Amino acid sequence: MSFLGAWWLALAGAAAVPLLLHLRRRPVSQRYVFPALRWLLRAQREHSRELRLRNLLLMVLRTAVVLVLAAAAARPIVRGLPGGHAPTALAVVLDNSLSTTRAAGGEPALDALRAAALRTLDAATSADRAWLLTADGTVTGGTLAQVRSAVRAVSAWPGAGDLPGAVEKAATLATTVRGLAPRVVVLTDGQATTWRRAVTGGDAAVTVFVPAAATAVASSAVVDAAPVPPRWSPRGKLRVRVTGGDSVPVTVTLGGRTLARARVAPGADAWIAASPSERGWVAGQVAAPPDALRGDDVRHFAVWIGDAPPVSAAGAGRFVQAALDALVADGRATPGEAAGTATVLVAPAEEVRRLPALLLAPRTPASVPQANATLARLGIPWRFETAVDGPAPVSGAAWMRGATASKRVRLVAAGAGDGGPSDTLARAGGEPWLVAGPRWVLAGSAFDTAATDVMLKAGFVPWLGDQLASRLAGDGGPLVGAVPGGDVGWPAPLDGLESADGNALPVAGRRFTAPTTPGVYFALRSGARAGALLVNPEAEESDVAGWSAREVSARISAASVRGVDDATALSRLAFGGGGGAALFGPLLALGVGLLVAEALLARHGRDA
Amino acid sequence: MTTGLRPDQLDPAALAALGRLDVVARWIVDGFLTGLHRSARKGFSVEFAEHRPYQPGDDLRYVDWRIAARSDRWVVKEYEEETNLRAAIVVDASRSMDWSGAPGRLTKLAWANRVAAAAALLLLRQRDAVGLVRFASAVEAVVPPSARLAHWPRLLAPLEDRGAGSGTAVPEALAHAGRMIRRPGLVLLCTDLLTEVEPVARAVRSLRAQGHAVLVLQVLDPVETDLTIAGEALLEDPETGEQVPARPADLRDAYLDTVAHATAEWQRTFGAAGTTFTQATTAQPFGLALRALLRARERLP
Repeated sequence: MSFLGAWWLALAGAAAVPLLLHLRRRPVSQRYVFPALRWLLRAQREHSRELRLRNLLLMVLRTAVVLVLAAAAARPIVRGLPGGHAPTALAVVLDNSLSTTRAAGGEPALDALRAAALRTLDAATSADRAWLLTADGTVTGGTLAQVRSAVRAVSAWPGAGDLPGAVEKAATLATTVRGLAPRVVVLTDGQATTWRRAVTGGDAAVTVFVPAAATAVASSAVVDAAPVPPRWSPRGKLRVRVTGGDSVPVTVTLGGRTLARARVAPGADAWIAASPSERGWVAGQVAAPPDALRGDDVRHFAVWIGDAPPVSAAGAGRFVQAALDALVADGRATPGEAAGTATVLVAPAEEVRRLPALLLAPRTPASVPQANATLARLGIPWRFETAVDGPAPVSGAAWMRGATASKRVRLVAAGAGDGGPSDTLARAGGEPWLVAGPRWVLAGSAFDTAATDVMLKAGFVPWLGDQLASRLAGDGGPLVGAVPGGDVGWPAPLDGLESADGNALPVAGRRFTAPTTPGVYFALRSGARAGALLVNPEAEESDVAGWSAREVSARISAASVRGVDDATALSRLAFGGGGGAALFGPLLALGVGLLVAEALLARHGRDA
Repeated sequence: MTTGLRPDQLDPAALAALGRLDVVARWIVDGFLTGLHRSARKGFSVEFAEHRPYQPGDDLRYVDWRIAARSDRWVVKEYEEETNLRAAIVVDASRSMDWSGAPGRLTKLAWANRVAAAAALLLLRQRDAVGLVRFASAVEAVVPPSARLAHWPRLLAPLEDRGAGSGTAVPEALAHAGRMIRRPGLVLLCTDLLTEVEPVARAVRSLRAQGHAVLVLQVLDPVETDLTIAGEALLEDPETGEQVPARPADLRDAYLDTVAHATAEWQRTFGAAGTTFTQATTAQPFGLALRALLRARERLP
């Protein structure tokens, strides 16, 4: 026998009250003149045995009423007795993540999970309460019919969702209902990446169902499609990564036309060079052949494409000039006139008059005030401070490893300026050394060998090209990635989104929920595209390596956790295993019966 | 006056609050007689004898209006005394009688006094000689029998006193009544009978042996018959001072059983002696007792 609310057994202590009342000598405060006292005494004499018996019976009845009601409140369950299961608060967690759309044995895993959920709910009774929770965060409560209907209506979510979060929410729901056995049934395809973190089920009893065939199906998928650099000017590359058992043929489309076809080996980066004619934000996708998991066959990407920016590097030193020559030769930059308004200037800070510009440290310490005046005028929130001599290691991107800055001018933040938010790209001696913002990059040293050797690193030229493309050549706005239905934080308020096929989606402000359909969505501000929102399912959702029910159960800590891979066993175990009879009803009836008997006996003594 | 407003059928406490003992007793008797005239029991035990001239103070009901209309003179109808019955009314004025179970309700003694006064008036109006014995632990007051209406105030005087005796000397009072009326007559005993059975039975049998008819009216308070006392209480006998702590509600079943047995015992005792026994509560109208008296009287010559 077990109890659903064992704490109610403490109420049994109240059984001492009628016992004490029966045993104590009752104080009498009321004096009453009663001439027929002789009859009362005679009644006491002649009925003393009957009265004692009646009082004893009343005491026993009252004590029994308290004990029985306390036992009923504790909701005892007797195992092994026929009669179904104890009243249960059942939270069904149905995994409808993208991975459950993969077909196994001719049907999607989600169909098998849905059928098992319905079978489990068929075993529920009107004394139970039920909820349905899905990986996408949806919670459905109500009558059993409503929950069954919700199970039938569940569709696949285009992303991973948060199944562990749903399990924890389910446990909370189930345990908040007093008097019902809290139980959580998790129906999942057992995808290992879903269960990376430990899950807490609290006081609920958790049963995990993973279909036996769910772990057996492999999948190929495009898990990465990223433009490098993020902005093409106009040339660039697309990095593609796939999973699967063999090389995967992929088709790359950009702006609605096929850009390339290639075979990509799983696990390795494949680079696809491009020099498209489109300009501005362009949507593209990389598609793999259809397989058992259709939802990850296509991966979307977006790239901002602009013309090669004109660059003027007069006075920037021969290393910078050589790097620009290489970029010009590669078509990623063009020689520009310093007077041209679109020309990117590369020069000591005190000589720069406008943005976009890569501003180097002043030539001499005496020029620092003039350089700072320039920074202030351009709205750049950094200032040069004191000159620092002596080698200081440079830390930042991987290609900078081993570089030093031997002469530099210390950079200090000067509060937010018109130049917008800034990033620290590299540090020298632990202090900001390379900082950047929209349309500006600021260096704490001149790019010559007397000041630093960073220009001698192999990554300098690509870095300079990336800075020109990403920060200095035009301003297409940010590219923000999101998962379907995920939260999105945008740097500036938006007026709306526009899908790749031209449909408008109303969003407002800086924070909003990403669309649930994967794809590219252009951010709109003042009627113009101000960035792109890239919605793709989580890459790990394509990792179909799965765990068994027992392995998933090991990730969950709860009052009890059991794994099962048989739907028939699930519907039995979901309500506590081998069944059992709830004694609440019979005990309540017995308690009421005892109360009635007590009332009748007490009334018989007073009114009859 | 409608039947519903007849004084003998009104709530005793309400009626008693309206006037003194004599006034109330008159109302009771008048109401009672009105009821009798309306009933099939016409010809109450007085019979018409002759006419005599009307004198101030005569009851207008006895004026013969047909003669008055024909001859313009007022005469009243005189009734011939049917019997020369001698009656004794014996009233228990012990402390147990001087008790009421609820505020606003008459004490048993007050109820018995009004019944006794009404009974006396009723009998006197039949030209019966009526005497009174009032007792508690001993006989306290005796009024010898007389058949004159003017005798009624004398009978009322002892009834105005409050009860105070610590015992119930029923046998002595009955013996005194028997001696007082000498020849066979009627003895009306008003008491709560909260006393031993056998001495009373002996006294009643003695009266019956002397040829007296005996009517015993047991007066109880409703609380004594129903034991409607709530909660825990220290119950005290007003005569003996004995105290018993009890929860009356728990004893009610047994108590009612005991009361039924006691009543049955009295009924057996008085029945065996050829005595009329009537039990009444102070919540009942006075007419009940008078009807019992009338029935007893009708069986007498």
